[in-house]
Amino acid sequence: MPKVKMPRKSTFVDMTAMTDVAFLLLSFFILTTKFKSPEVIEVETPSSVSTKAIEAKNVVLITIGSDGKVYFNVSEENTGEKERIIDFVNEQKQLNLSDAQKAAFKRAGGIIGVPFTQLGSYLNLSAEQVSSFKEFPGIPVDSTNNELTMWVRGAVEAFKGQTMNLMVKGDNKAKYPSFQGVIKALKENDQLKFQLITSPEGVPEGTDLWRSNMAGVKNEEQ
Amino acid sequence: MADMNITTPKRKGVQSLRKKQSTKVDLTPMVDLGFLLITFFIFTATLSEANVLKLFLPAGEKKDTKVAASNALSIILDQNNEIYYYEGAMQPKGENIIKTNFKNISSLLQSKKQQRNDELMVIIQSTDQASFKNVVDILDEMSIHQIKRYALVDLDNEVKNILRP
Repeated sequence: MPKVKMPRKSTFVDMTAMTDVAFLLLSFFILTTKFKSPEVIEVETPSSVSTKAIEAKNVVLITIGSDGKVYFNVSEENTGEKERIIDFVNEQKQLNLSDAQKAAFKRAGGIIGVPFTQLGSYLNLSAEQVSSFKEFPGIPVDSTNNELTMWVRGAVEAFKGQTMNLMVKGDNKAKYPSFQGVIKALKENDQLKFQLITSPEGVPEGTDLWRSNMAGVKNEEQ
Repeated sequence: MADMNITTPKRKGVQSLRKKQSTKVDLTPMVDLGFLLITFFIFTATLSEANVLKLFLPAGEKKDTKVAASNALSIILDQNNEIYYYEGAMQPKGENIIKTNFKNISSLLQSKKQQRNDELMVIIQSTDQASFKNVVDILDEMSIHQIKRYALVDLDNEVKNILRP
């Protein structure tokens, strides 16, 4: 009996399609990824169940470090507003800042963590010196001398007619008096709505929020 | 590799002088690399995300909202994650101040919420030794238990005198 000849088929798998898919996904993830901007101050934020995403535009950020020092900065894109803030503060506090010092404030990565008395000399530092400058004294926020009030007022003036996203980013270990000082500064300027930056956390089971999430109720925060 | 060698042995004599080279390129390493990078980007994308907790402050002294004492629950945050609380008005020597912690305050808030529903008003005070984490945690408890009425206020002097005699 003649043997039945089975045609031998190649086992070669064409990887082209798979490569296409892999790189399509890859380009998608590369484009959507936003890398963390390098931070001057290391802050470990507390976690909350809030799911509201962080706003990226018109941000006025007040940072509270782990040692309770307070810092102030405005997002990089808002150079016009930054200019108005420094002009306002300069005028109000009669700091006699030079144009070069004002330009230093607008420079990228600028974060304010010094009292007004040291602002001039701080702004004289070059960009490299600032990035290696670690010993910020912080903006005073105690009840007798709350300088943050002036910075917030400057920001309110600069962002007039626009929505300003006021955010407070505090470290886990920061003590309450610093936060209280920040609240006072905001209250003085009638800024009663603000956002606390937190890291995400799961909702505990069996609680009211968990139940309404399960029921598919959209959580409306006023 | 993505294929196996299954070439049939050629009959003698018919051997071709030159082997035909295949134009197929093995793309397996490229796929490997692609997926490796994908995993990297997926991880970095989710790690950098932060979110925000909205906070509304009570509008100063101008609008002093009166709360029925029976619906009020005052929480005082203290050092080392300790919490003190009292219901309604504080008794003169602070007899009704109870010490607790974050684990127990959650169940307390839940039962209070069930009793009083939206009438419940939580007043949050902090001593100078409380940390920022405590404040955010207690605000988080408010959203977990969907307590609509709460306020972050300064520490009452009478309470302070009792806690720190």
